[in-house]
Amino acid sequence: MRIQRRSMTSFYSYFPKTLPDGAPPKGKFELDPRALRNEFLRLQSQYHPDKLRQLTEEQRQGMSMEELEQRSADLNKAYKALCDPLQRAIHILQNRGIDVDEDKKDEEDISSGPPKGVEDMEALMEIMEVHEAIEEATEQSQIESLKEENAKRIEASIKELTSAFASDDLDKAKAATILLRYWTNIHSALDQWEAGKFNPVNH
Amino acid sequence: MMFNRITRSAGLLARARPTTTAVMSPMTPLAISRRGYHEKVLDHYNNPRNVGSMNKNDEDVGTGLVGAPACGDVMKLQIRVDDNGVIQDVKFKTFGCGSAIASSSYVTELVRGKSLAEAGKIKNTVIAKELSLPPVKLHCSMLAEDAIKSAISDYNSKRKTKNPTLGAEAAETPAAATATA
Repeated sequence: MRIQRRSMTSFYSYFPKTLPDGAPPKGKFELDPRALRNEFLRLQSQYHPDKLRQLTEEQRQGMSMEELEQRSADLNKAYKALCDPLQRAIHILQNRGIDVDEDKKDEEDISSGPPKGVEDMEALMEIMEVHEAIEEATEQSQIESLKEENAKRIEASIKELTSAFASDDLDKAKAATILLRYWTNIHSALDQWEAGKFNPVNH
Repeated sequence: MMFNRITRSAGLLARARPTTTAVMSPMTPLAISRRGYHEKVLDHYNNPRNVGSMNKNDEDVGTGLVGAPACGDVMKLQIRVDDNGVIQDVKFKTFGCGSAIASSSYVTELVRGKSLAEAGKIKNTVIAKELSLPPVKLHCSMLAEDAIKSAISDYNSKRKTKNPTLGAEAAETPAAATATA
């Protein structure tokens, strides 16, 4: 096992064993979380301070302690992002030049007025309705059934992402990613719900 | 567990302002300040104006429903318009961060009593300036601008269907202009 000399732009390249094919379309969107975790733990163990101190100059490849710590942080970041389907999808798209987080409109759009972004009115209405249902819920049992429904939505979005990336349909993947973000927000609102308390979406 | 301090203070706030519970946070003002919100944002966040819903099927109601792909916030803004094209009532519901709630709350104050043409000219920069939004939160003000524009556009399209001769009037708003472009 060798310490990475430089930080990498693709999170996939940190895990050559589990993800040898890299990001979609070559590799699959789905991954084996257990295998990924095992490889991550193995890689991360190299950066244990006690081990770092024992490294020879050659093994260190001229890197300072700070640089080595940065590598360790990079690895953590890559692992965290890949574990979460939403973050994974955002990362894949970003590396293909598609910024899901961009929310802008250029000058022309601003002067022409009306809404940009998600134009899927049906989905937006459903999102609003679910938020309102959470707001109106008074008992844990209602939250539980909303959770069940939402888990299905998340599952469906991940399926959509898997098939979109398999066929390299990036527009479809972007739309599914955006939708998955809405469902993820709802998921955390449901998780934070407590009887008699509000469930704000904070981020 | 339910009666820890935070929950209790939130409960007090909820009783004082029952209609605003949906968009209020149980966080204490101190906790919110730590998130770095400007006091004007905090004011709208703690006392959101015009929270609520109207019947979207009413003929004099226009509904704008918009979402922010970047953060997953959703905002609903509704206007009730009289026969002279003046906005008589405004309601909003926002599920999102403090800046998104404040932006939509502020917009409801801005557009009440304005004509559709005036309201359609509101720019996100005005909202951002009033609330001193930092660059990372500018999209919240854009979302509020989108919301009012799409509410106007929804109202206009209802009028158009009901009375086609009003088409020219409807086309005055920028929203309708794009729809026909």
